[in-house]
Amino acid sequence: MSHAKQQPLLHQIDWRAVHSLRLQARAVADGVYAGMHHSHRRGAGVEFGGYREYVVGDDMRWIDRRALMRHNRLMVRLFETETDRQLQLIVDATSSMSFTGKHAPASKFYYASLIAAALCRVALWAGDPVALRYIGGNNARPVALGASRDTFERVVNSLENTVAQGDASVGEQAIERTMQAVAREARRGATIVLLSDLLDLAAQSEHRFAALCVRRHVVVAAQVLDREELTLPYEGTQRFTSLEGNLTVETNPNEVRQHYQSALDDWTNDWTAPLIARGGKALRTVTDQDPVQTVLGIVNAVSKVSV
Amino acid sequence: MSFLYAGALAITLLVVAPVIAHLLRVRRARVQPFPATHLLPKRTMETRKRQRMNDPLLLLVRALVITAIALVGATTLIASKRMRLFRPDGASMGIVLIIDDSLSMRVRDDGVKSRFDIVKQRAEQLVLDASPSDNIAVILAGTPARLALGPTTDLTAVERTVKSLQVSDRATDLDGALQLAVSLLSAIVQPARRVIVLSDWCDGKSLHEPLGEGVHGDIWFVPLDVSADVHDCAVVQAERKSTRIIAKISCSGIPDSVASRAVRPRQVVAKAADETVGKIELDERLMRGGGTTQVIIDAGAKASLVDTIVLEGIAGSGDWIAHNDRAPVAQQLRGTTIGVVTDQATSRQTAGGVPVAEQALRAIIAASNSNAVVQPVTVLSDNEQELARYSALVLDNPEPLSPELREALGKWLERGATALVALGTRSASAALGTSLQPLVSSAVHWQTGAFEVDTSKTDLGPSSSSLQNLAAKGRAMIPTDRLDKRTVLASWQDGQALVLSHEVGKGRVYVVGLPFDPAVSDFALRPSFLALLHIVLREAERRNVGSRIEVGGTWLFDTNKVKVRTPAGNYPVEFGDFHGYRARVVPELAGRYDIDAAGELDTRFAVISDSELDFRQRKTRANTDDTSLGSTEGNVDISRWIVMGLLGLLAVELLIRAPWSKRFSGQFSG
Repeated sequence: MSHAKQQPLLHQIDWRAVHSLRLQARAVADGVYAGMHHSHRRGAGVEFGGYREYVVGDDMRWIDRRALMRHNRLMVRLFETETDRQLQLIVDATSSMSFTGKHAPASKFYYASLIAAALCRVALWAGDPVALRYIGGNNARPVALGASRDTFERVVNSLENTVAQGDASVGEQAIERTMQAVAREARRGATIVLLSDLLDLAAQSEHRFAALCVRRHVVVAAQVLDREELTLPYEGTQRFTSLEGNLTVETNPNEVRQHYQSALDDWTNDWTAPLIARGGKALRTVTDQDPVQTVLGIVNAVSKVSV
Repeated sequence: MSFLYAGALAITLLVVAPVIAHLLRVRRARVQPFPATHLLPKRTMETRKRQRMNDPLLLLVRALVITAIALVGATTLIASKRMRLFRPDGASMGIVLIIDDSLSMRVRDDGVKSRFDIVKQRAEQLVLDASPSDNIAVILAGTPARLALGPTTDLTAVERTVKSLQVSDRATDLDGALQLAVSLLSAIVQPARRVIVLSDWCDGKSLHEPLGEGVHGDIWFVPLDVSADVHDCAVVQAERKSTRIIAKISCSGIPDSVASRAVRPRQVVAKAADETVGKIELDERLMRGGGTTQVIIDAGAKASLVDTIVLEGIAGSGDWIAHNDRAPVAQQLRGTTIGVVTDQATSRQTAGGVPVAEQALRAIIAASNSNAVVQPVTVLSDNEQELARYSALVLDNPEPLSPELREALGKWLERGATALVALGTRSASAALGTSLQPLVSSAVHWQTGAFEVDTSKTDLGPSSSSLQNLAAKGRAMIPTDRLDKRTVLASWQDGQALVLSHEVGKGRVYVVGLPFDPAVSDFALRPSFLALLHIVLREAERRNVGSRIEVGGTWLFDTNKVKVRTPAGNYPVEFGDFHGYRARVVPELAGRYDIDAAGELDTRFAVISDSELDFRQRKTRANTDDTSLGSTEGNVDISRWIVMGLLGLLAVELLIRAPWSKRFSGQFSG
């Protein structure tokens, strides 16, 4: 992805189109928050929910001084009784996401970033805390869970500074770290959205992602593809080189198009099958598709997940 | 291979052009980064086709076309061993091809090709290069030299004849072949005539005068490269005598070039149906020095079962003719024995002890390498079995015979014996109850006076003219009535027979109207006398049924119901008129011949000649290497053949590119 050609994310989306939207979750939310969500736990009690490491943006009030003195590390106390509904955004920033088709408006990563920012905005409007994490990527800095006014700015800045790079197909630990962090941070009823092309993720990553479907989490995988990946529109014999791994295939697209499309569908189905089996949701979007429609699609998917 | 214009070979570089074009085309595939590359099929038919030559057959044909054009442009010359005959002014020629088909031509000097194969190939090349108007005859130089094809302009017939030639086990008769060739050339109309001799020059006469000496005309003795290391041992013949097997072994001797090497022992082995019955070591001195020896193996009780004598083991660097390392075993064969019955009183006195006929016969036998034996007979037995010891009898001035002797002699003759009777004064003095029947038909009368021979009516070979001025002081009147198949070989000037022959049963009798006594005439001192004795000797040998002859000899039969079998199968019999005989068998290979002549079964043997184991080459007359006659090697321009190939390639390309052959070519392109 060429950042020089990119425009600021804030100007890339019709915010008015998503302004009236709320992240409507049909599932019973794990908290109560300003009448926007229904929580399965009623009452006002505050219950300690554990510790986690401090990240930039955490409320300083929840820093545990005893833990700091004991472990010499900044630890934050978590409370189960928080009634807001978290939005955990996971954006795939591996090399394959940098692909830009000939007629595509932007790279897949840029499009995924746009969708992520929009979802962030929607969530913040609703008062839900948002966190952002990456798979792969260069200069990819995760954004800690936050619901403050500057959270949106931090998310957008992080997305703008990240360069899609790296090979997730050989880095199982990167995905494992990301998934573990999300699993650890997400409270009951959190919404987890993965924005990825699902093409070059490490083996067993679909099972790791599907494993997040616990504690009434709402898990959605949005597959972001370029139109060229969908249609294989090339003519004549081509020498295809993968963006991740070192694979080269010389073939005539006219001859293999049908076979490829079938393989792509099978691949996607295989990846999403464990997720859907555990109550998650998967959808596919294309970079030349209206982002608003994509955000709405994700919101609808979230709302349809039966918790 | 050489080239007249080597620069033209640069055209060959164009062969790589289509390959380079293909490689460039293969590299033109565009590179497309694509995240889902792993979902594409690794290799498809289309890409395989693109990476492969579209039509390798067409590419190959075109590459060959370019190469052929380059070769034609460079004028390709190849060194050839091809025979070329130089013609005076390109005129048509009368050619007599002498091809040696003797046993020594079986030697493979290079271990691959026999001498006969080489000369046969050369003869074929000569025929191919012959002009359509050439008159060509083919003579074979195996003993006896013989005409394979008379002079003809039909080159197809010549080619067919040459192709059909096979090597034999015969001895070599180059002198006879040359004489025959010269006589043939005299009948050829073309002014340019040439005799071409294709031989290895190993005729066992290496110490004789150079071959062709004294023969006029162009004779091209085509040189043949032969190995100086050639040596061989052979089983010439083998026969059984009681419990012993007697084998005659001949060796050529090991040449000096290989004499220093160790000689590995060889064994003479008697075999009965491949089972070894007896064995004896062959003398190393014989192998080294050469010569002939008799080896006797006592086979004991199994002697009657022994059927083959085999030479086992390899001498020195190798036995050069394996073909002659075995021979069939015959029952002891009766040799040709010629009994000479003379008037002791007169003949010994004039010839200094030994009768003149006996001396003459011994000389002829020695000169003709015959195995015949001359035995003087004092008294002719009237016992039929004793007479059977003789193949032939020579009776000089015999007295009339008693009835018992006449009967025994008649039966002896009827079985196929030969007799030569010289009638003299004693023959004419018949006592009561005696006569010379069945030698002559009736009583003989002696006539005194001076008589001369009519040499124009004499048929005793080239020496017939020697009977001129015979100055005979008398003559016996030969009664010619009631004689079967009578043939007059020489006559007096008044028409009376001097020499005649007639048949008695299977036997033949030669009657001379003069005794051999020089006091009566010079007949016994004239060459014609020797010619007559030679005829009798040959006749006796030929009629010595059941015996062996040298390969190339002739067995004659007076019936046309003859069948011959050899261990290899049926053997061809020639039918026709052969001097009164109806069938003829000429053995080409040494070995056993089982003959069925009108139900009469007989086993005969053909043996090789010792002379064929003498591998010393005979010299040829001085102009043998005359390069004006012809050449056996040189450069040949093969451009015309390449052009023919080029036309063929173009035709192939048209076939490949034809619309209806797309499917065909597609099979090749994959």
